[in-house]
Amino acid sequence: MFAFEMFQSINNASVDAPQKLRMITRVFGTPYSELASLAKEIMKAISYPQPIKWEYVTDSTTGLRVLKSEKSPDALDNVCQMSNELFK
Amino acid sequence: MPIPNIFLDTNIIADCVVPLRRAKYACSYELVQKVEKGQFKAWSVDYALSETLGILKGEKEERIGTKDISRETLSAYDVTQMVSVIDEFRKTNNFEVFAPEHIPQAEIFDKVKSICVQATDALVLLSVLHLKKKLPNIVLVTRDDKLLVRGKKLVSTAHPIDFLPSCPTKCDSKSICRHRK
Repeated sequence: MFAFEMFQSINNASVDAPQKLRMITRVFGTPYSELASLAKEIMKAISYPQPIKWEYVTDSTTGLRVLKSEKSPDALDNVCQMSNELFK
Repeated sequence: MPIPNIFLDTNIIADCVVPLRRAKYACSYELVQKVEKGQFKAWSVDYALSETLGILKGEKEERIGTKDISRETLSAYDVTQMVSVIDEFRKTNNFEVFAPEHIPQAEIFDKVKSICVQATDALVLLSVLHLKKKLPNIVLVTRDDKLLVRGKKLVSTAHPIDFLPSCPTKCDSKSICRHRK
């Protein structure tokens, strides 16, 4: 409702540009923008880590260009856990 | 004695990362567990990882019932999760993803024509041929019956069960699998 009223006010032809700018600036100081930034913070907290950048290195034994990756003894277990969560 | 080198086709990687497939084709997962323990050195190409990501997206869309909807339906969160699964698989011990030399599209066409496989399989075969120059005893591991037979003209091929003493006890397709033992 608030957003609709806001949209109508801003689109009102009788309101000049500086006035529209002041109205928009006022909205960004309200709890609505605070909520939006809070939601972004929560999303960041629950999101997965950034995907690893693909980088190739030369394998010393074969001379092949291989994708650089840090090996982990728990990798397969983690794959199972993560994919189970994805498809639950 | 040197560790045997194997090349994992897309279907083997997908069998490990999709839960339903892990239960249905348990031999693939059991083979990759052997790779992790150092009994094999496994290789694949980044193209196979891309194909696996596509399979994951397809399975997820099917799961949530949006497979036939022609618009973006998966959330960025879902996609990031899938990419993380692939990234984690890359961390498996004794598993390497290599970059083959440039493969001209005419070569793919030629392989499709000569051995009658899918273009995607031809790309995999050409990658294995590239790897074979460095690792002559490389074996292409796949569950694709056509590729198992037709690919043999160019490289050694094997089903995951060929590396196991018997079928895993908890395999869902044990009763219908033509490779069971």
